[in-house]
Parts: sequence; structure tokens; C-alpha cells
Amino acid sequence: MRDVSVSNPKPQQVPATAKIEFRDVTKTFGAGTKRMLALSGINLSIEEGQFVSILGESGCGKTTLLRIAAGLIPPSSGSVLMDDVAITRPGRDMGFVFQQSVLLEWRTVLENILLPVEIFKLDMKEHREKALEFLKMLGLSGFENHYPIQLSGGMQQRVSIARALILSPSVLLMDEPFGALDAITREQMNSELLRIWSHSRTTAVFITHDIGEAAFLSDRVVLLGSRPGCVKQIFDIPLPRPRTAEHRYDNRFVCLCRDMKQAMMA
Amino acid sequence: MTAAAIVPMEVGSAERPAWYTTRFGQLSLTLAIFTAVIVVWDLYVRLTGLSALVLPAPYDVWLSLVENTLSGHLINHMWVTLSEILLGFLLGSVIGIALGTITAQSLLMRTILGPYILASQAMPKLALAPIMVIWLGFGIAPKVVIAALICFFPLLENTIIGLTSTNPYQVELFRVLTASRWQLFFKLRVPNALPIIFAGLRVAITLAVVGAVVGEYVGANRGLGALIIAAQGSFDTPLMFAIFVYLTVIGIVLYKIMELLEQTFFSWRHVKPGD
Ligand SMILES: Nc1ncnc2c1ncn2[C@@H]1O[C@H](COP(=O)(O)OP(=O)(O)OP(=O)(O)O)[C@@H](O)[C@H]1O
Ligand SMILES: [Mg+2]
Repeated sequence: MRDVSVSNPKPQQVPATAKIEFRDVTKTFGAGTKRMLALSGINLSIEEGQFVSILGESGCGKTTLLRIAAGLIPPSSGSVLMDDVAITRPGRDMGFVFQQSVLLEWRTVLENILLPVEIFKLDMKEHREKALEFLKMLGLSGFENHYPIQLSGGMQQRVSIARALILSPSVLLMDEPFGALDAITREQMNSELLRIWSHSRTTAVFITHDIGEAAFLSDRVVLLGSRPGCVKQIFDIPLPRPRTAEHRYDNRFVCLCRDMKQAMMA
Repeated sequence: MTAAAIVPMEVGSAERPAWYTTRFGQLSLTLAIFTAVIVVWDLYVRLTGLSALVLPAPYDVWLSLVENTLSGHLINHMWVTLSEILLGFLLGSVIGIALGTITAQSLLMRTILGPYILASQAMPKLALAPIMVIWLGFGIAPKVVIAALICFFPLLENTIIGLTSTNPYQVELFRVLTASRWQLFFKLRVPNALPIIFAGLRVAITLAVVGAVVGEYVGANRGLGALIIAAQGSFDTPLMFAIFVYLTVIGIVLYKIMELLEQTFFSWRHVKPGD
């Protein structure tokens, strides 16, 4: 018996292939008088190969949700399943992109991208080729021997995306990766992310507080409510892929953004 | 995207660099100021008619320096002091880094050792010189130990700070990558600590010079420190100044060697945005 309906007036259909499934997840921090409920009753199912954004205002528990999905912290109750197995700790099958590009400043771009290969003691040569290919795809050819300090913020974040993808994970978790970038760079990065994602088609969970970004990238947008964090509403984004910058001016896109904004304010 | 498009221009690089930032300019400036100091020193001695016993004229110092260098007198004593410095530096650094590494591993160790580390750091190590002479005699050993003691603390402290001041996000990255404790240590904590440890080494090498010389003051018949005491006894002030020149040069050369090692080791720290 799998109940995947959300706390949303419209019950969701049971997806045939749920890659990640949140079942009644709650999370409380602290104890006693400092006890606070960060997430409450999250039921959510993310289908294989989908790009899902989690949208919500600051402090509503987005990062907490993602950290639980990554197995970095346990839920207080409920469970998160990946391929029907409970996630208890991080695994190789998962790529994680942090809000800041957490690069090691003493390593070159290429060495940073290959860090997961080193940790898992995999074949360097084969992955080197792959890393260089990623760099090309992300417009960073020729920067492989640069140090992070020599790159702009956007370029650093591209490097950390390449690092998250180097082992071809089946799930890519991203925590507001473009939050610190200006609007123009952010839109450019959105297109690049989609380009590189379309090659792998991994299941992607993307956190953002930017409505346009969520709508542009995703197949589905999960809107979280605050205090405590809960699923407020889910939007399907029926725009075709591959998506181009033109889609941002599409009527459907504009209407969706308006609906999401209204739902967010409600 | 080309490199030129993202590389920020260094401020003012389009204009001609100020003369004092060029290599030639810097060298001329240093030489000019050095000459001025010598001239003022010389004039002062001449005009006040100060005795050479109190302050010898620069030329007298130069004569003493040349004479005692050519006779091999200064060089012989320098080797003694230099070996004390280097042995003490090596001993103190190795023990400091080793103990720092152990201490950094656990909070319990830091809590237990913390007050003692603080106390022994606050205690002036040079004050121990007389007891070292009593324990270890008049040979090279007490000087090596004093130099080692004085080198030990900056390395202990910097190793602990370096190994424990890891960026929490980077630690989280290693957790996401399911890195083992060893991998976390060698691929994150150690590289993060190395620049801080090197800063400690740079401080320690100059302190080692002080340790060795003061050790020789307290009781020795060889080494530059012992020679200073001997020169004091025979009222040979120009020789004293010649020894100061030697000690200064030793200090500068050792410091420069450390700096050079550091630059080759941490080339990434010296690339600037835009290089
Ligand atoms: N380790 C923790 N201990 C105590 N409280 C925490 C902890 N982590 C998060 N919280 C609390 O949980 C709530 C949700 O935090 P979270 O970081 O998930 O928000 P967020 O939606 O990611 O916000 P932002 O958009 O600002 O990043 C916040 O009120 C925060 O104070
Ligand atoms: Mg967050």
C-alpha cells in the first residue's frame, strides 16, 4: 500500500517508477523549549528521470529536505526511499551541489572535478577524459589547470556541477546552486544546466526560491509552505524540451509563474 | 568564453607602474637608505668623538669583519651556531608537528592538554637556558634543546589550528562523497593545514637563531654567541658588530629559504585572480 498523495487538494497519481519517495517525513530540531518543527508530514514522490524543483521562501526547510534526501541527516519520523530502499547515508549514486561551490582551493579545476574518482578509487584515465568533456560542455575548456580563485562565481559553480556529475549518479541533488549569481548569469547557467542534464537525464532535485528558475528548469515544481515546512502545492510544467530562453516569454510560462507566485503568497 | 573575457584587470595595470614597485627601483631605494644610515652613523661617531668601545665607526666594523672572516675565525664559530640552529629547528619542528597532529585528533586531548600548552607557551623558554646548561653541560646539546623548545610551540599551535580549522562545507562535501576518516585527513585536513604549518616553520626558524645564541651566552666556548661574550670581555666592540652582521645574514638566509620552499609548495596561494 503506497500512499503518495500530498497534502494538496488534488491527489497525485501513483507514479509507476518513483526514484525518490518521501513518506510522512517530519524533522524537528532542538529539544525542550528550543524545539522547532522544521518539516511536517512531507509526502512526495519523484519520478525517475524527472527534473523536480522545490520552491519555497527562505527558512521553510528546503535545505533540510535535501539533506535528508542525501542521507546527511536522518528524518525525525517517516522515511525517504531511493529505489524502494531507505536512505540512511550518502551513497555513490548521488551527486550533490552545494549553495556555494565548495571547491578545494589547493586543487586545480580538473583535480577538483576528479575528487570523487579519487575517493572511490576508480579509474583516473577514463574519468579524466570525461571531466574534460564536461568542461567543454560547460564552456570551461582551457581552464582545467586553473585554481578556483582564478574563476568567477558562475564558473566555480559549473565546476562543482561537473564534480557532482563525474560518477554519473542516478540522482542529482542541488541546493540553490545559482542563488549567489546575478540574474543574467543565472539564466545562462539555467540553460547550461539543462544542456548537461539532457545528456544524462538523471533524476534531478533542484532547490530554489526563484519562481522563474523553477518553472524554466523543471518537469514539476513542488511548492513548500513555511513553519512548519509542508508541501503546499505541486505544479506540472508542460513546456516541451529542449527548453530555450524563448520559453521564458511563452504565454503558458508567464501564466504558470503568476499562478505559482499567487500560491506562494497565499 | 575566452580567458580574456573573465579575467579582471588588475587595478592600475594599464598605467606605468610606480618606480618603487619595479625591481630596480626597490633595489636602489634599499641601497640609498642603507648608505644614508651608514653615513649618519659615521658622522655621529666622528662629531661626538664617541669611543670605539661604545660605538665603533662603520669602517672599523668592516675591517674587523674582513679580518676575522679571512682568518677563518668567524666562519668556524658560525658553523657551530648554524648546526645548533638547524638541529634545534629540526628537532623542535618534528616534535611540534607530531604532537600537534595527535592533539588535533580528539577534543579530549585538546581539553586535557590545553592548559599545559597555554602555560608552557606563556613561560619564557629562554629562562630555561641556565638549567639546561646544568643538565646537559657546555657542549652543543643544551643549545639544540633550547632552540628546539623555542621552535616547538609555534609548530604545535599552528598544526592544531591548521588541522582543526577546516571549512565545515568542505567536511560536508567529504561526507557526501562517503570519504573514510583517512581520506578526510589526508585529502582535506592536511592540505588545509600545510600553509598554516609553514607559517609556523617560518616563525620557528628565526626563533631558533635566538635560542642558539642565547644558549651560547649562558655557557659555551664555541659559537657566535660565545664569541660575543668573549669580545665583550676583551672590549672588542668592532668584533661584536661583525658578529651581529653574521647573525643577521644567517637569519635572513634561513628565512628566505623557508619562503622559497613555501612558494614552490603552495604555488596555488600565489596565483592572483586574473593570472
Ligand atoms: N542544524 C539545525 N539546528 C537547528 N535548527 C536548524 C538546523 N538546520 C536548520 N534549522 C532550522 O530549520 C529551518 C529550516 O532551515 P533550512 O536551512 O532547511 O531552510 P531553507 O529553506 O533552506 O532556507 P534558505 O532558503 O534560507 O536556505 C530554519 O528555521 C532553521 O533555523
Ligand atoms: Mg537553504
